[in-house]
Order: sequence, then C-alpha cells, then structure tokens
Amino acid sequence: MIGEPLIVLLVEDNPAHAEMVIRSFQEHRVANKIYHVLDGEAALDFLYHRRQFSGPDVSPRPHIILLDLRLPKISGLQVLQEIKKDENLLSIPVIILTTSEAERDLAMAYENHTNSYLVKPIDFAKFSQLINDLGLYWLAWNRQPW
Amino acid sequence: MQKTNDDLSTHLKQEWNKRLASLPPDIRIWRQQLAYGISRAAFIFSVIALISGFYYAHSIEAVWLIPFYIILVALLGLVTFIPQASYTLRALGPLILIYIMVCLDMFEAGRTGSARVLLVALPVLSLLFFDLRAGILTLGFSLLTLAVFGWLYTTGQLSVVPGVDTSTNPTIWLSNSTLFTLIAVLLLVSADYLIKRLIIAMRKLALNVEANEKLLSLQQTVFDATVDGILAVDHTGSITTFNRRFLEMWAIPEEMVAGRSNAASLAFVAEQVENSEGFVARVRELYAHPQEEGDDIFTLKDGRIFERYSRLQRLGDEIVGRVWVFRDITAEKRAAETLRQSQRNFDLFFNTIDDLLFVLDDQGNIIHVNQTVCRKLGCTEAELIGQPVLVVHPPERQAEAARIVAAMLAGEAEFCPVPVITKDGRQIPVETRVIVGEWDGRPALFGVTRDISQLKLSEETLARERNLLRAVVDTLPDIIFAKDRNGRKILSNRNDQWVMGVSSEAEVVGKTDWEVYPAELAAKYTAEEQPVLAEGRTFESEGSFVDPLGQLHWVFGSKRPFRNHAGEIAGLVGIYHDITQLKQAAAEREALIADLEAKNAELERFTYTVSHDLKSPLITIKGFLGFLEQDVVRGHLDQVNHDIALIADAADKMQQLLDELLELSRIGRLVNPPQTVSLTELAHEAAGLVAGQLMTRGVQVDIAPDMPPVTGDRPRLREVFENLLSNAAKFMGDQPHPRVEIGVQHGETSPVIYVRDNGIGIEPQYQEKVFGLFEKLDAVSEGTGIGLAIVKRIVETHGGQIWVESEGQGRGSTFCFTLPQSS
Repeated sequence: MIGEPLIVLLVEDNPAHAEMVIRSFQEHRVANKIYHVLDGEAALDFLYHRRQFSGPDVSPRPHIILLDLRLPKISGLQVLQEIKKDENLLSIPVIILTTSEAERDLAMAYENHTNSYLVKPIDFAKFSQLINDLGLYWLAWNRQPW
Repeated sequence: MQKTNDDLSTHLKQEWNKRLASLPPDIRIWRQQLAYGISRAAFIFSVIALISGFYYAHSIEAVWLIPFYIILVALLGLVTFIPQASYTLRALGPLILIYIMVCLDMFEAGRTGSARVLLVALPVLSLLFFDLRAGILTLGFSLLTLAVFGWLYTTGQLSVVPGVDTSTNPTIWLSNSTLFTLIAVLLLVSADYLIKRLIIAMRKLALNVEANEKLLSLQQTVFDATVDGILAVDHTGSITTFNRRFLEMWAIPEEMVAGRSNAASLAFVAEQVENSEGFVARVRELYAHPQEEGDDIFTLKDGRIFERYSRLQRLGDEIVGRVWVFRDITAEKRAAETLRQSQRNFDLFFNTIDDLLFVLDDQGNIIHVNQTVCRKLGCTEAELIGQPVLVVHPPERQAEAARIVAAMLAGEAEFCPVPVITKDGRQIPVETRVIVGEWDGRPALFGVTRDISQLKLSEETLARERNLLRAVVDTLPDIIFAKDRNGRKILSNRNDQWVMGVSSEAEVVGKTDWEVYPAELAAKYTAEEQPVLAEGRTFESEGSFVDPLGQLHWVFGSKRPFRNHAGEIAGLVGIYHDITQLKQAAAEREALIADLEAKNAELERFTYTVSHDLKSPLITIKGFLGFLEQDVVRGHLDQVNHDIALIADAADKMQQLLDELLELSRIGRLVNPPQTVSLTELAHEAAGLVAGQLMTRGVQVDIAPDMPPVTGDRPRLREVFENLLSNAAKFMGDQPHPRVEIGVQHGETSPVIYVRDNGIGIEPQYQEKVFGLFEKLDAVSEGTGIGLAIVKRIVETHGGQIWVESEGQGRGSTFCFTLPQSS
C-alpha cells in the first residue's frame, strides 16, 4: 500500500465543492491522486474507459469513488446502480457525498449497495474534519485486497 | 099423374130394395125361398091345370095352340126355374100361365065379361105389386090374349061344349081352382108383402133396441171412463149409482157403497177433507135445499184439490135425485201455481237484472221494459209503454239512434252505442245489444242495454293513470324501455326515442333491436337479454353510445324481467341512467388527483431540490470562507481572490436560485386575464428582450410571419419564447453559424409551434430530463436548470404540451409545443 498511489474518483457537478474536497484531501495529505468528473455520464465513461477516457492510463481503476447524487445527465444513484451491477466494479467502495439529507435518497443509496453515505456539512470545520476522517478511514485504515 | 105413379113406384121399389138390403142375409134368403117356392108350386099347379084343361076341352080346333102352349110353358118354366132370373120374371111366369089358364077357362065357359075384367085387373095388380114395366108387359099380354082368345072364340075355333055343366066339369073346377089359386097367390104375395113389412118393422125395432143398448153401454163406458168421480143419489138419500172413479178418488171400499147408504160414504169422505165440518155443512145445506145446485172447491188432507159439482136429476119436472161430480183439479191447480210461480220468477229475474231490458215491437215502439229501466231513467213503465224507443235517447242523438234502430229492425245491426237519457236529462253511457225474437207471438226486438258508466269511469281512470305513468316515464331523465318476450319494443320513453334518433314511440314499438340497431349491437343486446327473459335474471351494465348529435354518452342501468298475472316472464324493462357527467366528474377527479399527485411530487422534488441546491452555495460560501481564513493565516494571499470570487459566485447563484424559484412559484397560476395574441408578434417581442444574449453569440433568428393567434396569458407566453431563445443561444456550442428558427407546422390535432436551433443538440436519453426542475445537462453551463421547467409549466398551464426533438449531440434541437387555438 505504501508507495502505491491511492486513486480517488470524485464525481461532483459543483466545481466549488470539488475544489473544497480536493483541497481538503491535499490538506490532510491522504490522497495521492484525485480524478474529478462533473456528471454521471462522465463518471461511467471514466470507469469504462470510454470517450475522453478511452486512452491508456487516462482512467485508472479508482480505490474509492466519491459520488454526488444530484448530477447532470446521469444521476448519482444511476451511476451507483451501474457500478454495483458490474462484477468488475462492484468491489470499489462507493461513498455517497451529497448535500441531500432526504430519507429517500439515503434509502435508495443503501438499496443500491452504497458503501457509505455522507452528508456535506455546511460548517467548514466539520466539512474539513469529514474529509479528513474519510481519507483516514478509507485510505488508511480500511484494508483492501488490491 | 103417370109420373107421380112412376115416382111412387120407383120410390116404393127403392124403399123396398133399401129395406131388403138392410135386412140381414138370413131373412132375405128365407123370403126369397118362400117366393120361389110359391112361384114354383104355382107353375107346377098351372101346368097340371093346363094339361087337364086341354084334356077336358070340348074341341080344340086350333091345334097349333098346343105347341104354342108347350113352348110358352117351357119358356115360363125355364124362367121360373132359372135361379139367375129376376124375381119379377119368376113371379110373373106362373102368374101369366095361370092367367092364360083362367082366360081359357072363362072363354070356354062363356064368361067373357069376367075374363075381360080379369084381363084388365091383372095388369093393374102387376103394376101395383111390381113396376111399370111389369104392368105394361102384363097389359100387353092381356090384350094379346084377349085378342087371340076373342078371335078364336068368335071364329068358333074355340067352343064351349053346350050342355056341359061347368060346375062339374073338371076343367071349370080346375079353372075355378086356378082362380082360387091365383087369389091365394095374390094373398100370398100380399102376405109376403105384409110379412116383409112386418119383418122390416121388427127389424127396425130390433135396431132401436140395439141402438139403445149401445147408447146405454156407451153411457156406462163414459160414466166409468170419465176422469170425474160421479155419485148419484136419489131423493131419499140412497145411492142410485156411482162410477169407479168415484171410489178410486175417495178410496171408498166397495162394501161401503154396496149398502147404498150415502151417510156412511159421506162420513168416510168428510174424514179426508181438510175442512171436514165445512164440507159436511155444505152437503147438508145442499140436501136441505133440494132446488140448489152448487160448485165448490176443497182441499184434501193429502194435498189433493177437488172440485165438486152438485146437479139435480130431474124426470120431467120432478126432481128425482142429485148427482155429485168430483173432479181432481190438483194437477191443474199445481200447473196454474207453477205457471204463476214461473211468471213470478220471470218477472223477478227480468226486473232484478241490472241491465235495462226493452221489448220493442217491429215499429220500434216500447212494449215492455223491466224495472231497471224505470229506476235508471226515473220514469214509470206507463210513461214508456207505447212510446218509440227513441225517447230514451238524448234529443240531439235521436237521429243517429233512429238510423241504428232502423238497421236493427232490418236485422243489419245488433249494437247501439248511443247513450240513454234520464227523465231529468242526465245522460248514461250505455252499450245496447239487440236480439230479434218474438213477444206475444209477434216479432219483436229485445234490447239489452248495459250501463257502462262504471266501465267508462274505470277506463277514464285507467287512461289518466296510464297518462300519468307515461308522463312520469317521459319526464324521468333516464332511458326507459320495455320489450316483450320476443324482444319487440312495447314501450319507449322520450329519452329512449331520442337516443335511437326517432321522433315518436310508434316508430320503434313492435320492432326488435335487429330492425333498429346495427347487427353487432343488436346481437350484443340480444345476448344480454337472453338470460333476463329465460331465467329472470337482472342484467346490470355500463355502456356508452353516441347520440344523434355525435356526443358520447355513458349510461349505467339494468334490464329486469317483468311478469304477467300468472307470474310468467312477459318481457323486460330496461332503465339506463346517463352517467356521462359522473364519468366526466370521475375523469376530472382522476385528472385532478393525477395533477395533484404530480404537483405533490413536484413539490417534494422542489423541497428536495431546494434543500439540496440551496444548501450547495451555502456549503461553498462556508467552505471557502474557511479556506479564506486559512489562506490569510498561512499567508497564501494569492488564493484569497480566488476564494472570494467563488464565494461571490455562490452568493449570486443563490440569489438567482431564489429569484427563479419565486418565478416558478408564480407561473402555477395565470395572473393576467387571457387574451388573444399573435404568436408571431410575441416571438418578435421575446427576441427583442433577449437580443443582447443573441447578439453576443451572433445568433440569427427567423420568425415565421404566419403563426396563428392564441388565447392566453400574454406575458407568460412571451416568456416561453424568451426562455427557449435564451436556451438556444446558451447551447450553441461552437456552431459557426448559430441560427434559431421559430415557426409553425401542422400537427395531428393542432398546429405545432417549434423553436429550432442548430446548437449542440440533446441526446435522446436526456430529452425528457431537460424539462426537470434544476436539471442541467451541462454542470458548468450558466443557469440554474429552471428555465425549461418554467417553459413546460407555462405551456401545460395553457393546456398545451411541450417536447424536444433532437437527433443527438451536435445536431441541433427543436423545441416543439402546442397551444389551444384561439377560437
């Protein structure tokens, strides 16, 4: 694990939020490489190496996926469904990171086998702490077979 | 004179023959044989006398006389002995012979005078006893004999011997004897005549006795055979006679009357009479007044009724007794009673019948009426009898009645509907039937007039109720009909008629569905109705039809059987209620519910979106404020501007979001009054409003000049174009010749307005998504993703539809929508 870059796929349509996540990760130095896509379609393209991600090494297999629910074109839930339907992809932990506290979203996400569901806190300190803990948990503490 | 004699003789002869004929055969034979005997004896005696005369004749010069005589005698003998010879001839034969003998003898003796007298007397006798013919014959013969003998005598051919004592001469004796004989014969003949008379007289007497006996036996027979009982009593009170009937009637034992005592039988008889004392008293009274005769009627204890006549028996002027005649008149009395009863029955029946009964003569005059006529018409029988029957009809209809009566009399009509009128002028509706018959042996009309007031009243009531029911059936808003077992319509109310497109019930009554509806519809209805008619089930159904105005109607109802008096299914009744409004209401309700649900969902999504999308800028602001603080602390001043810009952007985004949410909340309701606007004009206005945006991108806008006018909220409709134009400008991509075209094309039901661009286009899978609230296909594009949601909302609020057509990425998009046409 040490020395091997940890790859995070961040699916976030709001560029400001994406920047917040990325800066937080950088702050805590937990992620080596973050790939950011803006919508669901792009996320799936990334995972399946399609379109702009069709070149070699353009889209490595991420260790975790941070997925927003409200996304242009293909929603986060649909992306989650696609991932968990795919035998190759289902093992990738998918962490929902959203502003939605709606019970329906939460339920739907777990129904579709999300690995975690996180609500973006409005408070910056909490946001920062969340990202830090997230990084620690998923990228440090959590063991993965690869 | 001659004639009288002749008549007399004929009369006598006829009388004689009649009497002879009336004699019994034995008497006739006896008399005939007597006559024959005498004539034969006389003949034989004459022959002897003739022979002796000739024997003793002195001389007979005329010898030819001998054969003449022999021939004469033979002839006479023949006549005498021939049984077929008539009585006259047979009697005349010996008479003539004897006569000749006497004449011969007289001439011989010279007594010519006597001979002549005799010759004259003989025909007279002959005439007297026989008839004219015998008289003439005898006279002729006498004259001939006289002439012959006279001639013989005068010529001397016949001579008397002189000196001969004629008294001793056997010839004289013989001729004298012959004369005696003749006299004897005449006496005999006279005696015969008398005997005959006597016989007749005796016979007559015998006949009288016989007749009397016959009469008596007849009387006795009648006496015994008569149906009346007869008792004759003499003046002493003893029974003279009685007949068997008398005994039978009173059941009197024969020994009781054998004693001829009337008292015993009177007591016996009186016992049997109801009013014995009165009966006996009356008998006594009659006996006490022998001159009185009387007729009485009395009843016996056993119920028989006797009539008694008492008559006096007179002999000359003397009353010798009394005859009682009893007649059993029970049967008569009963027959009379029966007749009377029958008459009473008839009268009772005739008068009890509630119909008015008239008997008319062949002139149409009333002969007889029953009491009902008097009762109903309020007049007496006397007022009607003899009147023409027309008087019972109202004056204004008498002409009609007269025609009918005439036809009835002619046997051409038997029914008369003309009402009758009472004495006080009230009319009674009737039905009159007439039968031709006989009354008192003369042709008559029997009129049976039935008061149909009640019937009329019932009919009127029935008609009123039927009309009422009909009105109810017609007034009901439902479709009501009835059919018989064969599926033929028997009732159709107004609504049913209207549905079938007919204007009167008569057009459908009697027709089956097959004659009214198309075959498949008729088949459907027939199949539905089969179990109703066959099994009495109720069929409930909901259905639809198109009325003659082309309007679709929904109905709900049922078909139920109806039964006749015997409980058998006679047909069915169908009642269908128009539930179109209900249906519409239900549809509207469902639409409202759907709408509400949609709104609810939208609201939910709205809330969700708002919570999500409004939170996003907040997070951004808070986050970058945090970074800003760190930057400042760490001295990363180069980051400060970047962070502040992001914060400002987020704040702007938030404001924009709030504005647009407010906008969205407004368009749910139309705030401006609807007006007719030209779409072309609106499009131009919208293009003017977003001109800056369009110009920045260099977009060319073409607006069709012929777009139709629509009715709606003008500012909102303008907003549609505004948003679509702005949207088109926004997603032109790197198109070198950006262009937007607004126009109209003909859709399936209404014109379709389109806004076509040649921008980046939308992939088919996202075409529906673009209208969603806060849905953006491009995360980094301007806007909040609310514009198309607003457009959709406005179009739908106006009753239209909106969709997008695009062949995909880079192929341009065409937003199409429909709006209700301005009427």
